[in-house]
Parts: sequence; C-alpha cells; structure tokens
Amino acid sequence: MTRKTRLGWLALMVAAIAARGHAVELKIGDAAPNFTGIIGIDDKEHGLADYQGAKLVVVVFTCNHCPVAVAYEDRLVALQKDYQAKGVQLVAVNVNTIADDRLDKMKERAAKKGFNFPYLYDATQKIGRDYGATVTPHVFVLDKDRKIAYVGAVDDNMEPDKVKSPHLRNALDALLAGKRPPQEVTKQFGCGIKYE
Amino acid sequence: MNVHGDCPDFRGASDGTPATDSFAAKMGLSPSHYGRARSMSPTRRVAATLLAGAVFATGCGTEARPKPPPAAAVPAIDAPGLARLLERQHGKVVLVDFWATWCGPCLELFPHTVELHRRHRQDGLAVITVSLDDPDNELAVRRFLGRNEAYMENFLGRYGVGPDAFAAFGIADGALPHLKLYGRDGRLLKSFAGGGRPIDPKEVQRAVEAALK
Repeated sequence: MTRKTRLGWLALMVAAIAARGHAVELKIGDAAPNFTGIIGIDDKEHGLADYQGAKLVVVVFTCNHCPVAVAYEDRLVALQKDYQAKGVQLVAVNVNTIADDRLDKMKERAAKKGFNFPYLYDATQKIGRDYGATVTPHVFVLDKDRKIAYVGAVDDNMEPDKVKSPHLRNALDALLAGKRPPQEVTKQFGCGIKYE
Repeated sequence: MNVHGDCPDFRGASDGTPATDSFAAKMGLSPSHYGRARSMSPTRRVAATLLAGAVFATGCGTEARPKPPPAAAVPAIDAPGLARLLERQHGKVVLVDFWATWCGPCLELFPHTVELHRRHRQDGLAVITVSLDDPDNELAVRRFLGRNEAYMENFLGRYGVGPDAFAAFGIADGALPHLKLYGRDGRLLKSFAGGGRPIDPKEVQRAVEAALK
C-alpha cells in the first residue's frame, strides 16, 4: 500500500466517523453526560441538576412524528405516574428538528397526551450525540450516582397488549431494590434520529 | 426509469414483470400457499400493465387508476431461517431490505429496492425483503408489497415489533430502513444504516452494481 493510499484510507475513516457524529456508545457504569440549559415545553431551561432529588432519572429520547415513539407515549405517562412516589423522574428529550417535531408541536402533543414529565427540545442535538441516541424511543436510566444503569427499549413489544417483558420497569424495580437490572442492555428500536 | 415516478400511488408494472414462484419451489411450499394471489392475478396484472401505460401516456392524470391486489401471503421468518435462505443463494449477490409499514423512510426507499431487483435480477441479484411489522399487520404489508409490484422473496419477521427483532437480525442502531448486501461468496459486504441520515439509494445501487461485476 502506498503512502498516498494509506492517507486516502485515513481520510475516509476520519470522514466516516465525523459523518456519523453520534457514534458514541455509552456503557453501563459510564458517567451520564451532563446537560444544562435545554428548553422545555414549559419554556423554561432544564438541566440534569434539576432532578438531583430523584433516586433515578430516566432519560427518554422521543419525538412527535414517529409511530413507535407515539405508541409508547401512554406507557411513559403510566410509568411516571407509577414510579414518581418511588423517587423516579422521567425526562423526555426530543432532538429531531423537522417541522412536526419542533417545540410548538411538542407542546401540542404533550397537552394532548397529558405528559406528566418534562419534555425538552434540543435543536443543537448535542444531548442526543452525547448520549449516542440513535432512535426514538431510546431509553437511558441514570442511577443515584448518575451513572448509566440501563440502556435500550421501554419493553419488548410496540403493541402494548403483546408485551411479555417490561424491560424498563424491571430495571427500575431492580435498581430501587439496590440490585442490578436483570437486563442492563436491550436493543433500542424505533425511528432513526436525524442528525444534521 | 424514474422509480419515484410522477405518480407516487402507482409504481412499476410498466414492464409487466412476471411473478416468480422460484421461492415457493425452493421452500417446498405449494402454489396454493405461496403463489395463490400471484397465480390468480395475471389477468389483472396485464390489465394493470395496460392501464399503467395509459396512465403514463396521459401524464398521470386523475382518472381512475388500477388498484393492484395485495401480494400473496407473506411467510414469517426468523434469523436462522434467513441465514438458511441466504446459504441457498449460491453465487448470487443478495440484497436484504428490512423495512416496516410504520417506517416512513422505508416506504420511500422500498421502490428503489424493487427497481434494483427488476433491473438486475437477470444479472444474478437476489432480493429478499423482511418486514418488521406486527404479524397481525400482515394485510397492510401485503397491500404495500402489492402496490409496489414487489415480486421478490418477501417475508414478515417472526418477532413482532420489538428489540428482539432488531437484535436477531443484527440491526445495530435499532432503526429502519436497514439493508444488507451479500456478495456472490455469501459474505456480508455492507450494511446500509441511516446513521442519522437517510440511506442514499444511489449509494445502494453503486454497491449492488459493484458486487455484480
């Protein structure tokens, strides 16, 4: 291989990594990326430190337009209702920037579905890249030390009546009991997040 | 041919591509199981072809368009079944298109896959499509396949819409559409994942044509 070809390959690899942009993959036990100053549907800025009273924080990357994300909305509302008193705080984050996913549409969607958790909009998409979110919905559970304790899907079936394993609830139950989740990583699935 | 066409509701059919029952033969399925809708549809297909010609000739007006029938029953497949099917494609280049009716970008990309198959199946390209829809949604899958004149080896994933499907079929980023291209030696040449951007159908075409050379 000539020096020129090697340089060519190197350039290609660098370009490929740069193009992916969100190639980060958080591992269980990694420190959760911090975030600050992200606007919510309440028009206020939110940051991870706002939830320091919570034992566990569930960061869910979601959006309005994706049928899979939509299919999980009611389950997220029910989850926050069931786990709030146990010290769990769910935070929904959208980083898609198409017209249907912008802040005004997020407000409409949240009102319609009765979201009982913050719904944040990061048009810079930084938080999505920091967490390595690839789809909506994509779930990250942060433990009391704000380390990643669970990554993946909400459960094992988009159809609510076909769910056999509620992965996220299982993870929260285990963590609240001081144990490790039975499955710490499940395969996230849904609509690909569009990074600019 | 512009695969998107000017008539987004009616794609293909202009060359009257015949259905192939090779898959049914390979899988040992009776025509009544696999080829039913296809074997009863030649008349409609011819009519559709003629009508399509008329529609193209009149510049895609608003006159009544033929409604293609849904595709034949779509067999369920799991990851080992897909692996066995791939093993049987000796010497062919194989493109696997993972898609779903709930995935908007999939519906945009799918006609390109149909067109690639039409253009290159005589050159040794086999195309397999796997819908990651809920099994109860089979009719919608068949309707979409029928509308797109998708005469390929079409399947419905056995796992339903959930993490198991994406893990089993090796779709790392959990997003659709996802394409896998295998060389004539059966080796995986390339996976096409969105990676935060839509898949470029031209890139797929270039890779397929390079693999066929």
